[in-house]
Amino acid sequence: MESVNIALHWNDLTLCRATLPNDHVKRGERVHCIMPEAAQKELLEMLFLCPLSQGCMESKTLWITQGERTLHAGGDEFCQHIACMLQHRGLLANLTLKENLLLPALYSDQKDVLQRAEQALPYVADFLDMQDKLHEKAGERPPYVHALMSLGHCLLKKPAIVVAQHMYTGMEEEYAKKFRRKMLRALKVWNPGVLYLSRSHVAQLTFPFDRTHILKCHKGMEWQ
Amino acid sequence: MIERLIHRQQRRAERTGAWVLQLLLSMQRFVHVGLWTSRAFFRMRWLARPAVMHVVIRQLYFTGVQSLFMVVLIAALVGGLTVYNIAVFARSVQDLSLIGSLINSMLVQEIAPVMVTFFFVLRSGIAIVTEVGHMQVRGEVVYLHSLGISLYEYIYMPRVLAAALSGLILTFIFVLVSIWMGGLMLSWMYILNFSEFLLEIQRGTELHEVLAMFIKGMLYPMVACLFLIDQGRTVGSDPNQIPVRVSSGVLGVVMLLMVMMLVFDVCWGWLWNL
Repeated sequence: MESVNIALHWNDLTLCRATLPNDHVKRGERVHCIMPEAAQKELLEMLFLCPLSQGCMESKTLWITQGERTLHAGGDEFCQHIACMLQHRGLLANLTLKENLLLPALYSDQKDVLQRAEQALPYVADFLDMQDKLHEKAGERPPYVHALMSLGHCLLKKPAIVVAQHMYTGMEEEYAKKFRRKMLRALKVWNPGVLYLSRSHVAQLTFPFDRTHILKCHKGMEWQ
Repeated sequence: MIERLIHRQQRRAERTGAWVLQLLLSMQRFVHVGLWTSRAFFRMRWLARPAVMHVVIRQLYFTGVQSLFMVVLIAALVGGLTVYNIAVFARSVQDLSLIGSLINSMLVQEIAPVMVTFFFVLRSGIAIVTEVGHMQVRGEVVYLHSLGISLYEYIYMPRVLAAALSGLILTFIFVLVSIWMGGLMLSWMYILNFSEFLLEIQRGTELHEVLAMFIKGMLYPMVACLFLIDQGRTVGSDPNQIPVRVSSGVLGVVMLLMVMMLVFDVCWGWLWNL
């Protein structure tokens, strides 16, 4: 996972009957894709539903290159290099914040993943200003906490590529600024490739992007 | 006139067709959940995953351990009453040897699994529909997908497993408590002493009937749980659908239970008469 020459590629990627221009995201690069929420959802499903073996084949339009190797979306190894920051949800209400942070590691078959996550947890909790709230039940939390938890998952996993949706929807200005500062600090240290998905150009305010693509869905597909 | 009649018949046919399609679709959905949940169970990867094991233990505690007191209480009341009525009936026809076979065919094979399933539906089943429904509404399902966590393994399988195991154990406890309570009642009322009562029970019991009790005790709550999960899954993003799905889930389980009882008894009888 520490290898620098990891990149996410896509080719002839069709979302809501429109094709996204072929491109890639290398480690350290930030690519912005402006597309409707339906297309974002479709893309996220391609990335994360296939590995759950829920009825779709390995994708030939999305893959990760790791040196000479090619890891197609749909495989477990592909998932090890990629993480996701969803717009609306970052935790489960009936777990504690600690259980929420450790959830992906607790679900893993490999014991060392959990050990590593448990070792890193105090530092990540400190960075997220959550060290004294870890044993609280999650329940209903504001969007800021959901966003922090998503960032926390990424920090514990440290993947080479992050697919992030626009996180500031519904967040108060003060908290949006606070979260932006934290996210920029985290990205600076761990330096992953970021594929940023948003509905409009407003995301340009988040951080500077290397490239921006705009995907316009065919009529009638935007709101499906 | 004829056109109106044809139009009315067409509308009726459309409604019937839509109803049949709806029924087939819900059956397909139910089978799909059942198959994928079984797959998650038989792959056994959940044993090595602490997150799933935590949920299994929590569900077993909630469904099995926390229900124990109420099940014992219901067993003492229902079981005592049933055994008493059976004994009174046997005495009225002057054949006390009927006690064992009647207790076995009524209490052990029918009442115990059904009462435990009803109790499971009222206590844990409603919680399952509400929980799964709320997860849909809150978007937690999408969130779990994004973390690479299978819903079948993390959410559905632990609940179904807890329902099956708890159902099995609670049915056994229900039978023990009700027979014990019934025996005590009969000896207090000088109808039959406790050791004679136990002897009658032993005479009237066969191995395949005890086996049927265990299978029913496990199968009924398991299928009920799958049905309720399926109802929770159909909530979508509308929170107003949660109470609707809860009530249709409970009613659906009652209907399903009746059908299952009939089918199971016919098939089991046929199997043992072969």
